[in-house]
Amino acid sequence: MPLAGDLDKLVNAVLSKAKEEAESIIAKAKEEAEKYIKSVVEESRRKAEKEASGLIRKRRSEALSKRRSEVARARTDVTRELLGFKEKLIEGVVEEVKREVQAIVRTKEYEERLVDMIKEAVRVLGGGVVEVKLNKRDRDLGLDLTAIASELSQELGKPVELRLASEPGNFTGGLIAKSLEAGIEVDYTVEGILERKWKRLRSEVAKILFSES
Amino acid sequence: MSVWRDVVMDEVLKRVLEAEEEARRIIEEAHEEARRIEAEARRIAEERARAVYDEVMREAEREAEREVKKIEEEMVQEIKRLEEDALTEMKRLEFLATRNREKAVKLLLAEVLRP
Repeated sequence: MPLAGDLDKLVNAVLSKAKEEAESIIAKAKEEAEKYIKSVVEESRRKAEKEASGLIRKRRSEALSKRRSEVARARTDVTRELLGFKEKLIEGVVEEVKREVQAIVRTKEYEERLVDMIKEAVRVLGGGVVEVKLNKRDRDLGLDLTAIASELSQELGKPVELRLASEPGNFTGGLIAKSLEAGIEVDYTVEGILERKWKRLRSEVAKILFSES
Repeated sequence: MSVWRDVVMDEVLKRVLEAEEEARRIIEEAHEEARRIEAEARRIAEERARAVYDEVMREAEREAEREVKKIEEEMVQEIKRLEEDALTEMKRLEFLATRNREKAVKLLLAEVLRP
């Protein structure tokens, strides 16, 4: 009996030790499983947070870039619109000047100006035979071209002959004079003068028009 | 006596061997269970990692959308300000042009009648 009791103890001890070891194996496996899950989840979170940060940065950068581009375009549009508006106001002055010219050309003062312009044109051309082109209305003024030519002839000390062009000119006022000997032409029409002077005058007109004082 | 002792010893050995066999089985089962736990852990880890990743990215998408919306609203306001400023400037220019128009017309008129 004592032998049998010892044997039972031995068998129980072997089984008990095996159970302890088994429990230990399972406990360790569970512990490692917990650690593994935690580690994988944390790694995934780190990876996601890094990607998320990159995603937000990229979207923000794209949005800021779009904003810069749209605002720049709007600024350009607004500037263009403002320039157009200013141009329109300046053009308004030109249009008014043209209307004023229409009124002035009916005055004696204009007639005197026209004669001065013819004389100036002949001086520039150096005399000789000069063809003068006027618009239809100015042709009807009945300017004494012979008298003007005579005066210029004396002034220049050489012969001057003024001939009215066969066709009227299509311009607001002023004239086109052409030296028939030299083939040179001077444009003293209102439109021609305005065109030549416009580059300088435009900035002067703008300066006056938009002056605060 | 010797025969009896041999019989007893055989019985003892048999019981010990059986116990050891049982112990091996218990440990083998434990290892098997550990492997199952490990496999289950891999599955759970993958599932939770995916869930965490998706949640973080979803939140990032939401935050990015909020950021973009905020920037777009600022952009709209900035463009609106530009347009309002331009309108104010136009009114100012129009006022000045109306006030100074006569002076400008006089200058231009004098110039166009003088070659």
